[in-house]
Amino acid sequence: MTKRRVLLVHGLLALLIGGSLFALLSQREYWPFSPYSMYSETQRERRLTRLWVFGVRQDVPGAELSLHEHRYIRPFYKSRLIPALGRLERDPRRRILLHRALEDVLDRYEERRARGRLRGPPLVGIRLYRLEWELDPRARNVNRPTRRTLVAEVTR
Amino acid sequence: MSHPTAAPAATGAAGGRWMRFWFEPASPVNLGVCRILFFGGLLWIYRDVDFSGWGAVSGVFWMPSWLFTTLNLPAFPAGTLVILQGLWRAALATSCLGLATRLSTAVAFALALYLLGLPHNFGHQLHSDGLIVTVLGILALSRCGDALSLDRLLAQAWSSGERRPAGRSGEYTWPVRTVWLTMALVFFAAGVSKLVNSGADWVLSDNLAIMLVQKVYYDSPQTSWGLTLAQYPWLCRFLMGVTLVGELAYPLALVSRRARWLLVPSLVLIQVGIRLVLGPDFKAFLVSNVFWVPWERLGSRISGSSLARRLRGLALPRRFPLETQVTKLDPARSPRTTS
Repeated sequence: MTKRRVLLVHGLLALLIGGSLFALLSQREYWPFSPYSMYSETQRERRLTRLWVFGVRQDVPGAELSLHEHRYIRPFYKSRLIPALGRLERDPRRRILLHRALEDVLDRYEERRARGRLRGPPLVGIRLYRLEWELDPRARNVNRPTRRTLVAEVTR
Repeated sequence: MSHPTAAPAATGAAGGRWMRFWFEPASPVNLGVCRILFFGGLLWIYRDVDFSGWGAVSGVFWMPSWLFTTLNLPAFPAGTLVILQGLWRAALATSCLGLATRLSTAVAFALALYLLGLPHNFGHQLHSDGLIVTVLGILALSRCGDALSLDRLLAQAWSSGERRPAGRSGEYTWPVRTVWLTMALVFFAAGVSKLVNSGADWVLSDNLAIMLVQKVYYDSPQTSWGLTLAQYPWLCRFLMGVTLVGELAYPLALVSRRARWLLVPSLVLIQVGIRLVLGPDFKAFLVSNVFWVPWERLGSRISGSSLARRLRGLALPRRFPLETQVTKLDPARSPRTTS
């Protein structure tokens, strides 16, 4: 190997080690470098609080459709959409954008449904709830949250 | 494709060990097999993934990462993304086949940096693909197309003079070991983050038992086994302990063959288990494990086995022995021609 190639490899190693350590020590994401801190927080309470997105059905008055399947919210997965909505909700400077974000979810759902790329009922609105459960060891109450709080809503 | 084959010199015992670790001369076959399997694996994983939808997402979700901010990269329109993802899949395919390998791997890396990085600008950064981009960058700088490649076949077909096999070189060692290092950094970081954020409670509390039940409420684990597992707190703590030890000890796999045999499969099993009971998908991580397998040594054992000899006798005409097929693709075994 030439000296130049050896130096190149060492430069690459320095970048990989340096980038990884920087992300680890700062505990911040610098994609593709990351501290990989998912699941690093300890869960202590047997309850769960999560934001949840529902579509308001046009065909069945009062009925709601859970929009957590990827096919309904493409290109998002809920693992990205819900934290994104959560960031908008938590940030006082951005909370005003929450309704636009929900409108976007509705617009993309209806556009894909109109083009035949999505099989689902027509929707006239989107509701963002905060759901809370007391955990049951067998998850018998998964469809009956303890509390359901409306955070934001858009309707057409 | 020939390179000086001597390992670069270094002063001192530690320096010598360092240089031998990264640049010990090796055959290009192992790296070639890794190239084929890694790029083939990525083609399979991303075959149905459509990035173009991000071109239609409202700007209200745009929360750019440091990379996209630094490079001033936008979210391109859907039409442009369709073209880019087509080019990316083509580059993955040509990289797998080893056609115009240097260009193909460079394009595959550059487009992956954009396409895989794009979703992370829409509100949340996930962890499933950072490793992939890093490995693609390593391969883009490597000579992974020197063996088991169309480039090699074409070079042999077009060469009119003396054939120069690539021979053994440190160029075929450092990429594999750098992928090892990258994976070690990933798992070590995961372990350290758990200690930093939770300490011993991460293992000793009912953490996993609670998480397993939570996931059934919110995520989509492949199975409901987590609910059963959660009934045994002692087993949950044991599994958390094994996970944490495995992640923190993973760097030992770099320097110890025994540790490699224990840690690498263990973390594979843990990631499969996470998919089954917690939900997250680590396919992209799993495909990177091809770099841990000593393919050339494995191939030698298999081809030398009595079963293989019997199969060769059954499957191939005598005038096309298996060795000839292999030597066409493997420069280290190409017959020397005299000028």
